Amino acid sequence: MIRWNEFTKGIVKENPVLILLLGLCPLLAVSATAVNSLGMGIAVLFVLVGSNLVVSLFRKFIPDGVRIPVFIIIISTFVTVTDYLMAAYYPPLHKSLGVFVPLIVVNCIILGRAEVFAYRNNLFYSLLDALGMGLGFTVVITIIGMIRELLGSGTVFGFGNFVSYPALIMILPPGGFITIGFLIGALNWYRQKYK
Amino acid sequence: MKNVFKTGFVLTAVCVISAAILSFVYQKTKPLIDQQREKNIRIAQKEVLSQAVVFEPLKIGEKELNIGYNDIGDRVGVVMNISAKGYSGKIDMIIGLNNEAEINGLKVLQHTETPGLGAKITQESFLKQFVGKKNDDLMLSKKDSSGKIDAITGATISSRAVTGESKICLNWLNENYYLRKEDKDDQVE
Repeated sequence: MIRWNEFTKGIVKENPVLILLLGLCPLLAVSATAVNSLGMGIAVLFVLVGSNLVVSLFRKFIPDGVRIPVFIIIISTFVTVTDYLMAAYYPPLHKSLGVFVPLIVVNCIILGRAEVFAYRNNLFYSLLDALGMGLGFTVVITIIGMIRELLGSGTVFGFGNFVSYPALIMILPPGGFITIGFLIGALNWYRQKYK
Repeated sequence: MKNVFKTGFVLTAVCVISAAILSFVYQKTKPLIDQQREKNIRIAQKEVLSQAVVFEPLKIGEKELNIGYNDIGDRVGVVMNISAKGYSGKIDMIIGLNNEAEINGLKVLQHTETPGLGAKITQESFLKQFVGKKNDDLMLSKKDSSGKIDAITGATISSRAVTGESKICLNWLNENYYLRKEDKDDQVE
């Protein structure tokens, strides 16, 4: 029996952003436009899968007392290697995602999943967990990016012009807090109503 | 007590391995990354001074600039890298000028301005205002009646940074390059 819920839990039930409230710092920083949000989401997904796999693979060798420093070293090595490889072999991708890659190091979703899940579960479930959590993060950050961009600059993914008088505040940090607050509220309301 | 050595050993091993991986990847990718960066600089130079085919570096004092020559070897202008203090960090730009000390092209290479506000300095609609301007025109029109650059709504600081820095650059070039160039040309003749 494969526990598929390890994959699906990250998308709604234990969504890293809306339920666990992890990784809000980079989320608020880059979600002003939909394109940036999608880029950040994909970059996080990639690093999360990599770090979860490595942590899960070596979990038997990592002593309990120093596991957090070891996780941090693994994650930052992984992020830096990703950054170099992208810059060398996929320059166009690096040009659009480059600024977000160093930001991933401070994303506590990755450290959180390493500690809570990958350290205690086998390789396959760690992969499922990383994919689910990464996807959950990507979906939510893209939705936030689309809302903020639509209300703040009147476009979606840089196209169109839907709002004649965009509210500047939505692109600024307060707009991020407002959007994420309403999203968390909506999800909680939905969960209570249909429990 | 025995544990101290064990954890210390594991921690050291992890650090050594990650340092080894990092230095390996760094050495493998560095030439490619440098190549890419140089290619990008060449593309940017061509973009701000499209008439030029060959660029030759020239050092005046501490600043470096590139003189552009066309295919028959005539000097068509000068390209310079400049860096302004923006709202939230450095704005790196490349500026190209023709022989009459007018701006031929301006491009933002790298910046950390607010997305959706200050980041609009990279847009064509803002930057095309600079084409054909001389140093006296380089003021924000809302601050000075002789200025000919319209600031971006909600991003006055970023607009002012770009405008101000290009003005400084033009003033400097006028003093150190264009005036001296005429001296030099006279001497040659």
